[in-house]
Amino acid sequence: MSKKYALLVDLRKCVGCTSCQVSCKMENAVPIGEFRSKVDIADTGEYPKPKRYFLPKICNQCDEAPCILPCPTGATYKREDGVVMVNRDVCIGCGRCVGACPYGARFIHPHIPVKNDPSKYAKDVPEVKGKKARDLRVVDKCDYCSHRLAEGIEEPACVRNCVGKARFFGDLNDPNSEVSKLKASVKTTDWHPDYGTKPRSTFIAPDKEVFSAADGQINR
Amino acid sequence: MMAKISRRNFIKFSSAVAAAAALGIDELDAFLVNLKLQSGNEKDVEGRFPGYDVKYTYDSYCPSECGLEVWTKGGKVEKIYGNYADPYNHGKMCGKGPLGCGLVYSTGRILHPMMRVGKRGEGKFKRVSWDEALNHITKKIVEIKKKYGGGESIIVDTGDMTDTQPYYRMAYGAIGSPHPVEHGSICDTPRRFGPKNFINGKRWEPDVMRPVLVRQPDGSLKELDYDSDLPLPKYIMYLGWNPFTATRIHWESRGTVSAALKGCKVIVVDPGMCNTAAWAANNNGEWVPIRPGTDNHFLGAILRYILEKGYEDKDFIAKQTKGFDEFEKEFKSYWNKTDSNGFKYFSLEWAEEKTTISKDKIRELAELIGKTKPGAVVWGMNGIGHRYAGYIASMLGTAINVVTGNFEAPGGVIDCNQVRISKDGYAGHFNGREVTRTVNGSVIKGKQGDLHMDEMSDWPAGWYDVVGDHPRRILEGVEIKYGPFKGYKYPIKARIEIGGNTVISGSSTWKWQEALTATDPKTGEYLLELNVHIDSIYLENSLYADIVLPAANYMERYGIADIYPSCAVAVLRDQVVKPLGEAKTQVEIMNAVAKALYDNGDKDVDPKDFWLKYKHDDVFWTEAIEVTPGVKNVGEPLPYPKLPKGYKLLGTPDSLEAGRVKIDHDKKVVQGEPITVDWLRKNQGVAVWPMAWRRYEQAVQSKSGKIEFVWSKMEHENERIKGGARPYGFELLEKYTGTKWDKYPTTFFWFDPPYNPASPRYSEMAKKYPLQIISARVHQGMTATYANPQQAETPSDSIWWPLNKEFEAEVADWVTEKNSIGMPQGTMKVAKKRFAKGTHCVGVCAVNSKDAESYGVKTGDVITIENMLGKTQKSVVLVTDTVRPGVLKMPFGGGGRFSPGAGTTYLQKDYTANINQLVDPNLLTPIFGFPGYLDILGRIIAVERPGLATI
Repeated sequence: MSKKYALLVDLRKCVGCTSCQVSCKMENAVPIGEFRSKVDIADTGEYPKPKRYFLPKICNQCDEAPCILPCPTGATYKREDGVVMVNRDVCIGCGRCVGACPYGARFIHPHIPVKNDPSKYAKDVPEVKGKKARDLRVVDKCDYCSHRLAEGIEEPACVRNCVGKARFFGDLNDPNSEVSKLKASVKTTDWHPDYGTKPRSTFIAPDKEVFSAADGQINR
Repeated sequence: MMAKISRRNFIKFSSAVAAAAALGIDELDAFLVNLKLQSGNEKDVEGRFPGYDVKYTYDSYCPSECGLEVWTKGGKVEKIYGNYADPYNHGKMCGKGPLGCGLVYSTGRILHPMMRVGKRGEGKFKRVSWDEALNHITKKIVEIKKKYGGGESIIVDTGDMTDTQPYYRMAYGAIGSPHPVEHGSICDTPRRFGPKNFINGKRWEPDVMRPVLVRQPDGSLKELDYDSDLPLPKYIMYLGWNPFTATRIHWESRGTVSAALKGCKVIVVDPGMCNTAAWAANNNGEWVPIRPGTDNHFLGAILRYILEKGYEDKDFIAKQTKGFDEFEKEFKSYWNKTDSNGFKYFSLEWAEEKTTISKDKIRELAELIGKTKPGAVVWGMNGIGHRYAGYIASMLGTAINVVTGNFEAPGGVIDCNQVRISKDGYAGHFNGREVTRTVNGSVIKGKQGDLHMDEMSDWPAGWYDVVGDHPRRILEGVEIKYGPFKGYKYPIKARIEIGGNTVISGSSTWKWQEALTATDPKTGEYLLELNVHIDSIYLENSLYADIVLPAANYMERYGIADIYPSCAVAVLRDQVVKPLGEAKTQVEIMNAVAKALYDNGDKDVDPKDFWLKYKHDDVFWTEAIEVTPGVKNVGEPLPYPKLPKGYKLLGTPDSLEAGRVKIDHDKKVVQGEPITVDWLRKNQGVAVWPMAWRRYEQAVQSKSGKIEFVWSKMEHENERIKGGARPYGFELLEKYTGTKWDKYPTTFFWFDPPYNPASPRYSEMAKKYPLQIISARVHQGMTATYANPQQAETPSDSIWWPLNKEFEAEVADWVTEKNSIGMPQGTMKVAKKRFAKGTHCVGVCAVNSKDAESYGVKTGDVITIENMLGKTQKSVVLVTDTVRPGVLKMPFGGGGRFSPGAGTTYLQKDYTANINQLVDPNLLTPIFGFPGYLDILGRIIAVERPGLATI
C-alpha cells in the first residue's frame, strides 16, 4: 500500500516563533520575499483583552487540488502518496496554478529558469507567447521536503526544527503513525474547508477564530 | 555511560544501560562504539546527499546557544538543525537559529584587519595586514603601560560573545589588565540580585526541561520526557520574561507548552502582550498588563498576602533557610507605614494603585501561588533585569519561591547557574601577580587585582564589573579607594572590545560617543589613546575604532557552551567551516597579541603561557574542561548511588557510570576519565549527566550553605567598605530616589523607582513627560539579527514589524541557478534586491490604540520622542492593543543603527529609534552599576506621515 502523507499542526503548542518558516527557507533555498511556509500573526479584540493568533501556513497538498487542472503542461501533479509536486522539467512558468491556489501557496521562483520549450504551448497559453525558456521561471511550492522523503527521511525541515514540537508528519495509512493517532483522538480542522479542496495539512485548533483572523495567503 | 541523548537511539540506549551493567569495561567500550554507529543524524546524510558533511556545534546567533547539527557542502554552511543529542534544545531550533547562513555570509562581515584613516566615528579605514595591525596595537599598549603605570589603564571587554576565556587570559596574563569584562555586566544583573544573595546563584527558571536522565530504583538511568510521571509546575508566573521569542533558556518554550497541556496555568505579567503572553491568554492562562517598573510593588503585595495568610512552608523555611525571621521582621516593619496616598505598604490597595492591576486580581494570584504546589515565579530580562529598581523584584521573587518551598522541588524552580557544569580557562591567577606603583610619593607593592577599576574603586560590590560606567572612567579616570593602592590614580587609555557593541548597548549611546571622541584640550589627541574592535560583523563600535580585527564567526571558532540547563550538560563548539577572509579564532588572537607584545619588549608575557602551550584551540578547551562537570553527587534521586554522596564529580558520564574512577576522600572528589574536546567530538558534541532535585548542597553556594535571608555576601561587602569611601552608587541612589544608604542592605530593603509613576517624585515630571518608554528583547531585533535580511521576514512581539520604506540593497540571499530535481540547489550570494514597502521588518514603536487616538497617531506614522533629558529619537509607529496605555515600547538594539555593517537595518536608521539614545547614562544601579535601560519618561513632540502602513 502506498504511503498517504499528511502534516498536522497542533496550534495549542505553536509559540509563534517562525522556526518552521525560516527552516523551510534554508532547507529549500527559498529567496527573500517568497515563501513555501509562513507564520501569520493576527490580532483581534481590544485592550485589555486583545487576542493575538499565530497561524503557521503551508501548502495543503489538497486531495482536490485546484492547482492541477489549470496547468497546461501537466507539470503540476499529485503523487500517489498525496504530495502535490511541480515537475520543473515540464513547467513553463505561466503562473496559472499560482492564481488558482486559494491559499497563495505557490510562487514563481525568481531564479530557477524554465527548461521546457514554452513555444510548444504558446497557442493555448498566451501568458508565454513570444517568450523563450530563459525568460521564464518555474513555479515553486512546498512539497513536504520531497528530497528528504525520497531518501527515507519522513520529516520535513519545518517539523524537524519546530520549537513547540507542534508539528507532526507521517503516513495516514499507518495507524500507528503520530498523525494517524492524533487524527483519531483529537478533533482536527482544515484551513478553509469551504473551498472544498480537501486539505492534507490540517490543524488542531481549539479556537476556530484563528482562521478568520489570520486569513492572509501565504505568498500574497 | 550515558554519552548522549538522541531521540532516535534512546530506546536502544536505555536498554543498553541495563545490559552494560553485566558487561566488563572493555566490553562496555565496545558497546558504546556500537551505539555510536547506530545513532546520530549523520546517517541522514551518509549515502543520501552526496557532497554534504555533518558537524555538531552550538549556536551563537543568540545567547541561548542551542546544540546544532550543521550540514555543510563545499566548505560552506547550508542547513542548520537542532542537535537531538543536546537535551537543552532537543533537536529544535527557534525562528533565528536556522537562518545562521545569513549571518555567516552577511555583507557586514569583517574580513581583513583595518586601520582608521579618518576621525573616530567617520568609518574611514584602510586595509592593513595582521602584522601591521598587531604591531600598532601592541606598541601602543607597551607605551601606555610605560607612560601611565601599567595594564590597569587598559580595558579588555569581551562583549556579547561567550567562549571568552582566551581573551580573559590575554587580558590578565599578556596585557596585565586586572579588569577584563564581559557583556554580563550590562546584561540583566538586577534580575540576578535575589539568587546571588540568597544562594550565590544567578537565574531561577521553572523545572520544565525534559528529557532528563533520572536514576531509577533498580539502578538504571532512564530518559524521562513530558509523558513521564515527573511533576511539572501547576502554575508559572513570568514577569517581564518572554521565553517563546526572546529566550536565553530554549527548553522553557516546549516546557511551558507541555506543562500547560497538563493543566499548568501560565500567567505573564508584562506591560506588553509578548508572544508568551498572547499564547498564555489563548491557552487557559492570562496576560496581566502591569504598569512598567512596578513589579516590586506587585511581588511585595503577593509576599505580604502569603505571609499574612500563613501560606508559607514553615518546615522548608526551618530546614533549608537562614535568617528568615530578620527578613520577615524588616519586611513587616513597612506594613503599617503609609504612602503619600494613605495606603499601607504592600497592601493589596497600595499595590493596585501602583501597578494598576486590580486588588482582586492580585489577591487571586497570591492565593494561587500561596496554596498551589509545585509552581514557579520567574522574572526576566526586561521588566526586572534592565531596571534600576529591579534588585527589589528579584529579591521578592526569590523570597516567594523559597517561602513556598518551590526551590529545587520537582516541578518548582531551579537555579540553572548552580547546577550546570564548571569550566575554566579564565586565568584569573594572573591577577595575583605582584606589582608596584608609586602612591603619593611612596612605592607600594600589591597584587595586579588590587588595581581593579571597579572593585577597588567606585563599585566595590560591582558584580561582573561596571561597563555602563566606562564612558565616565574614560573621561575622568580612576581613583583606587580600597586596598594597598588606596589613593592611586590612573587614566583609562586603551579599550579592546571583542564581539560586543557598547556604543549601542552599553548604556547611553551619546555618552559612549562623547567618551570615545573626547580629546585632550592641550594636545588635541584622543583621551582614549587606543580603541580596538575585534568582531565578525562591522558594527557601530568599529566606526570608533583605531584598529578593527576580523574575528572568526560562531561557525568558525571553538568553545564550550555557556548554556543554562536544569542539570549538567557540556556541549562543544567545533569549527564547522574555515574562517572567512583573514578572520582568526579566539586562541589564535590571544596568541597573536601575546606574541606581538613579547616582540615589542613587554616583559609581562611568558611564551610558555601562550603560544608555546596552546598550539591549537583543542588544547585550550580541553584544559578548560578539566573541571567538568564539577557538580556534586547530591540530590534526589542520587545521580550515582555507587559513588560517595556529596563528592564533586569530574570526568565523562560513561566513566562515572561504569565506575572507572579514582576517589580522593580528603578532597571529596570523584575523578572519572577526564572529558576532552576529542571525547565530545566523538559523542555528537554533547555530554549529559543525570538530573536530580533537592540538590541543596549543590544549588546553594552561599557562605552558610543555607538559603540566606540575611545575606553573607553583603555583610562581606560591608566589611570591605567599613571606614572607607562611600560607594559611588550610594550617591546616585540618593540623587535619584532620595534613599540614603550608609551600607549595603543585608536583608529586606526598599527604595522607590526613579522616573516612574509609582514614585512620589513623579508628579514633578508627569505633566511634561506622561509616557513611559520601554524596550524589549526580541530575537529578531538584536544580537546581529539586524545584519541578516532573512530575519526581516519574521515579525515579532509588536516591535519588529514590516513597516519599512521601499528600498534597494545588496544582500546575501539564496541564488539557485540550476533547474534540478532532488536536494534544492542554492548558494548564498550577494545580489542587489528591491524591498517593497511593507515587506521588511524594522524596529517600531508600539503605541496603544487609545493613546494613538489621543495623540492623533496612526500605524506607519513617524513620531519624534523626547525623553526627560531632552534627547530625541524618531520611530515609525505600530498602533496596537498589545501594549498597555501610557507606554511606548521599542526593541533593544533594533533601530537607529548607524553602521553600514548592520545591513538592511542600517538603511532604516532615519525612521527607527535607538532607544538607548534615551537612556540616562548616570542612572546606574546602586550596587552593580547597571544602566537603567527601561527607566525612561518621554513625550511625543512631532508626528510625520510618510505613509508606511500597507493596510
